[in-house]
Amino acid sequence: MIFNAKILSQSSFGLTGLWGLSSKASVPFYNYETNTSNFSILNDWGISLTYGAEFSESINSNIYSISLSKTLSDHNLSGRFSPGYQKQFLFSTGEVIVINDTTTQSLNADYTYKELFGLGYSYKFTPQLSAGFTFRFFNQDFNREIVKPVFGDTLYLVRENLNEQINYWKGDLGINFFLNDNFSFSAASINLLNIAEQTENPEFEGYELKYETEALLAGSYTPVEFINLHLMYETSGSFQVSAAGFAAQFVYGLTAFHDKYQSPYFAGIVPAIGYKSKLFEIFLSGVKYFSDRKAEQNFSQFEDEGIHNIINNPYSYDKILLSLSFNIDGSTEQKVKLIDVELVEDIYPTFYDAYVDNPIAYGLAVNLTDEKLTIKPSLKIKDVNEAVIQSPEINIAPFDTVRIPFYIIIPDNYSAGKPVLSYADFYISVTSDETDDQLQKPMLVNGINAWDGKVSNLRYFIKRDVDFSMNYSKKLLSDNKQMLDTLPSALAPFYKAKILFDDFVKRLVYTSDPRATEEYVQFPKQTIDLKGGDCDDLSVCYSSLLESVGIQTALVDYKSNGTFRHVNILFNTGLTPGQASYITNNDTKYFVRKNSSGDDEIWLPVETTSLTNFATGWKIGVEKFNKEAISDLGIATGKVEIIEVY
Amino acid sequence: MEGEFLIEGKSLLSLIIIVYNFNLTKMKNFIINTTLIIIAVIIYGCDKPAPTELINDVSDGEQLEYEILTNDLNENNVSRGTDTSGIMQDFKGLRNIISVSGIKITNQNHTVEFCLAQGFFFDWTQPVYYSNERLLGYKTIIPGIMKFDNNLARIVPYKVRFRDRGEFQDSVLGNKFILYRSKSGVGDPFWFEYGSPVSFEFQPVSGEPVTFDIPTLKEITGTVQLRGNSSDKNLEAVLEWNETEGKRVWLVLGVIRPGQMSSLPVYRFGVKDRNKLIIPKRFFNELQLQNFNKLVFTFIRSIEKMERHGEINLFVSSQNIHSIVIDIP
Repeated sequence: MIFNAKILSQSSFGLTGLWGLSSKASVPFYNYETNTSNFSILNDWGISLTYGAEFSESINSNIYSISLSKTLSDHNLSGRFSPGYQKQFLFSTGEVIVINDTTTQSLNADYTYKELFGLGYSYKFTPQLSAGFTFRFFNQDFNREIVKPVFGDTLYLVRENLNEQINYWKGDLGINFFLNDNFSFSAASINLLNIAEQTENPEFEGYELKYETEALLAGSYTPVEFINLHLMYETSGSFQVSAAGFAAQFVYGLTAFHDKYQSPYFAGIVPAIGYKSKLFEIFLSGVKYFSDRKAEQNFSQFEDEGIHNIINNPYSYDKILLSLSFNIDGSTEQKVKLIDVELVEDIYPTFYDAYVDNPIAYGLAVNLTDEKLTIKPSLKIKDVNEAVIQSPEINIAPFDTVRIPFYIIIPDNYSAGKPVLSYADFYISVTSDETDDQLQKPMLVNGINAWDGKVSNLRYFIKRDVDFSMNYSKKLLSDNKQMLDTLPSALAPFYKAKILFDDFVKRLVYTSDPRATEEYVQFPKQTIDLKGGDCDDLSVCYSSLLESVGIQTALVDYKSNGTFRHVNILFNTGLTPGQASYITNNDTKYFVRKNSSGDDEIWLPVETTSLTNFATGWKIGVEKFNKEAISDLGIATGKVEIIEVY
Repeated sequence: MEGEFLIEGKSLLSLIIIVYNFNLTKMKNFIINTTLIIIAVIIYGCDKPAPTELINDVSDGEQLEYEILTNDLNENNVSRGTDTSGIMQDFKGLRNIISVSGIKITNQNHTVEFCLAQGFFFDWTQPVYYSNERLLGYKTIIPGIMKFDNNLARIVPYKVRFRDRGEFQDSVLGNKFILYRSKSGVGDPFWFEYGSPVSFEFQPVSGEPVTFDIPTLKEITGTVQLRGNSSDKNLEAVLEWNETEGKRVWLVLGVIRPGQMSSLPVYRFGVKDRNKLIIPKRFFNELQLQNFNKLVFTFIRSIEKMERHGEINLFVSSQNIHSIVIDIP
């Protein structure tokens, strides 16, 4: 057989009518006629079967189609076997053999047009845009009696059967676009690509399915949630209009169609009603023609006009069809949807402890089911976490919306010094092994020295280098062991603090932030190594050294000084007010605080930026503390805040 | 019954899914049941859509008729009936026939034209049979005088040649009326133009004369294109002619033996006057063409009617004929 490009026909009439693309009352995935793009809302596997009866002089029932469809991510594949998509014509050829004066023998023909199977593919580019194609295989089986002379002893005419099978493929493209919840549009070709075998016998020429390359345009409008209106127009002039809707799990639709090759103007209707569950759909549809299809049909019309469509042509009978579809979804059904995620603030890796108690983001999730669910949120930040970090589970009522906190854990070994613009993936799931929904958000992950300006968060810098501080302090104190051993034990904290401070100030100078930013805080080791820092750095460093040897400290946040904010520290001498005279007789040089047991203890303010000696640092610290915190009522008014390190 | 489907009845349409409360954990059962349902549907649904029987609304006169005129290709002459024009015409069932013919014969690109008018009156009381008692025809009689366009028809013997018991026999069945003239002027003083009526008058021996006009048709002119050749058994012919609004044209395919002038008509095709007919190769391949050297394609456009005048009923035939003789390639 020689294949050549030949355009043949099959227009867009579906046995289940015209449906839209929305999820509630949607186009069946097995309806290639009105679904040229092979669009499907299937999540996984779909199997369908259409069985029907045709009302000719008798009632013939048969399988119209069996189809299988599979969705893989954004791809959808399908195949359809369509044994019932056929039309057979029986007729006299209009030729007779004259046997004698009174006897003739008529010749008959049997032409059958079949669509045997089809293949389809579609791809969802975005949730709004999808496109695809279908290829369908047709067969035309022509059988015709012809006159054949036979010469034996005499010449006579006999009838002989002439048969020819003509196959062809038809391919078409389609595209779907969802403008919004109310409007969607489709466009597709009709007879874009046809690969056909040539007709070899002139007797059959002209009887092939008629061809016209056309386009179809379709639009759907949803004026109210439960009603869809559809219009499909072919450039040939044929069109279909339908109204489809749903109530509970029932869907219903009524399609009226105008076919330029049939009369009356509205050639017929396709009513349909169905029931859709998550697992299956059952459709009962019918095709009712307005012209009398049981009336005698003339051969001359068939000879002149042929047919343009196998299942919908002037010779088609009324039908009733039962379509059964199974949606076999191996993947978990989406039960919850993550609508949005709101980030609380950028990530400061050094504040890792803070993130244990404080969410870094809040998500808004909705329960899509009628069941009470437990949502398992989780999060992973690129370049920060190697594994997904689970957040506490949240219960959500049926169809309710809930605000979900997302927590993060910063690994101890995170050490990036520079900020990184990363991505955070937020997940929610109901079962433990499948994600129901996810969202990705860009997120700034600061360097480890970044600080948000809140003095309370300096504690994280104090705690970070505790090993370094401990080694540093113990080494220094061991150098003064002889002196410390001679002191009453009650004075040990005071003198340890003094020794550490005096050593501390000898090594350091006050400098602004090395990177000229207030949001940069050095860890104690960095301060020692760099031999300097600003008030934040020095307070952090001195506090860390004291804490490492068991001396309780607190940060004093002086907020009152306009744009310039200052920090120094208090440390606990462990002395009672009665023992204050061991270190000073001036009761303005210390500050009494109650410990966790309710006992009063002597705390000394120290100005860490006074890098002269302990006595000066104490003196300046006291003066500043007494003035701003006490005399100016800073503590009472909140302008001065004492923040515990631990 | 959770997760199972129950099926009742033998007809597919009576399949009723009773329970569908599906549980994801019973996916296996679901798939098995689904498969069973599909198999059941396939088994029960093995009909196919009803065919449409189209009524061929072509009238009898528009059908394409195929007829064998000569069963025995060894015959050298007509096998039955009576010849009016070199072409077979079957007179069986007729008591009389008045015939006017305009005839063209093209041979080797040379065309001769002539007019022919004839009259036959058959005496059904004197049938003539073959030796096997098959009816050959009837004796003819001359019941008066006959004029065509006021030209008195001559009375000549009515001769037939037929094959009986394998032997060719010549016989005279009586007399007939005839007028004949070629376009070159040879013959009787009788000529008519295509499409113009020919006045006819019959004066019976007793009774009132009968007069009427015999209509003639538009001239028929055919062409024949042969494709292929006989040795390769792929010879076919494309016949075309000047179509008219007339309903019917007869096309006769005949053969001529080497050294003979008369043709042996073999096939007759009755077609709608649509200007074209392709005679497929299968019609030539059975003709034993090696025994013949020429093909004769004859285009015939004719009308026939019964003229009723009192007790005298005359069957009138008017025909235009174009025969084309072509060497067999």
